[in-house]
Amino acid sequence: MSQQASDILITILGGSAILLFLGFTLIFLIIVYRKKQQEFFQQRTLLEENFKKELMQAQLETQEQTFHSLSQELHDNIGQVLSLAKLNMSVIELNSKGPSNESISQTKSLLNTAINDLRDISKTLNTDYVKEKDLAESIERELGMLRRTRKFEASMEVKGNPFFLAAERRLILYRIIQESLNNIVKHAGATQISVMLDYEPDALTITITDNGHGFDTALTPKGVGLLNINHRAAMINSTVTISSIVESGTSVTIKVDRLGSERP
Amino acid sequence: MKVLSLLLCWGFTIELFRQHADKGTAGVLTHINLNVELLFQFAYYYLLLEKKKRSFLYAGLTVFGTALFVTWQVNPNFFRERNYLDGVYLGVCMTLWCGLFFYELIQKPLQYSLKSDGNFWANCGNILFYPGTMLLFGLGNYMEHINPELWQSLKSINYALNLTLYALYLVAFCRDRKQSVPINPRVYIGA
Repeated sequence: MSQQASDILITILGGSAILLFLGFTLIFLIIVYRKKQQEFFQQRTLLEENFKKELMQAQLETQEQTFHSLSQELHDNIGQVLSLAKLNMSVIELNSKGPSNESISQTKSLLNTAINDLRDISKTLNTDYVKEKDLAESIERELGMLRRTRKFEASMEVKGNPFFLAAERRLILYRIIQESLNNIVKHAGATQISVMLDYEPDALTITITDNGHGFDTALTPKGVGLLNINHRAAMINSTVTISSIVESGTSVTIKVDRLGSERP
Repeated sequence: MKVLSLLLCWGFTIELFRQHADKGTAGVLTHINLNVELLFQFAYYYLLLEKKKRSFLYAGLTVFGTALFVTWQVNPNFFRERNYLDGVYLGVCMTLWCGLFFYELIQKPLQYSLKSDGNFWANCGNILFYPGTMLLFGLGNYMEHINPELWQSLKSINYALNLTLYALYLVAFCRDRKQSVPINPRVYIGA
């Protein structure tokens, strides 16, 4: 091989190798750069999510504290005043004779109803009380309050073997159910409400159904209630599905994994 | 991506014609192939890149045209002879345009992955093939005159790079997915 041919060969091979190397390096650098960018983006998203969760938790804790103080105020202050009023009415009833007795009895009965309702509301708002009680029991009490209004037929069904859920998760679930029931009372125009707790081996599915006038989920904007439900559900890693058919009713399904629930 | 598939169809068709053509016609067909290839690639990048970067595409096309014109003026038989000088000019244009694509890629949002971006794979093929064969095309003709045997063995580099290009184009066609921004998976609302 002549010197000239050898030089050209070296130029071609060397030059092509350098250009190919540069091409490979460019591709490699772009892949690494994108990966780093993605890692950074994921980290930022994670930090943002954690921050949002913490913020939400703080908000909910503040809300729970407010509920708790309200519950104590209702029980210790207004409850005491009503009890005293009832006692006074009893004394007046003992001392009075004649037609006013019937009115006094009626007033006593009204005071009794007010005291009982107040006690129920106080229990509903009391965080410690909700945490102590079983989820089904708390829901049943809530439904009982609705039944007493005589505007709703409320029923509850429990399927499967109930498993233990940590008090914090139970409280959040209870607040979601409360919010859903509150939405039914305020907006649905329903007469029948049913709650089903379905304990599967790995998850608990809670379905709240009503026979109200329903709404178009695509057209109706999310209100504060629904947003609260979503926020609370995100805190315990549960999923909320809302399905509604106009003039047929609405169904809210909450699915929470057993995973993460502590055993007693 | 459709432009690239058309380019591939064109490439295979002209290759078939070239196999059955005599030496003179094969030379002309090579020049036609390289020029049409540039036009296909121009169309591909015209559709792919942002409007702001189209001036670079026109610049590349102008450089290619000028270089070809000068070469033709120096050697009037250029288009009848069998050489790959226009392949070198094409390589320069393609390197510039690929660089523009990669520059644009690193500035894009991160919602989609590179693996599912067919254009990324196609441009990987381009950035390896065109600069990799530039020297081979440029000095190939001269090498063929002084040592035809060595030239034959050097052609294997071209075949290997061609194979790499087609393999990466194939990956691009297979992996190309229309990617959308993910929605919040936690809450579903539906009738």
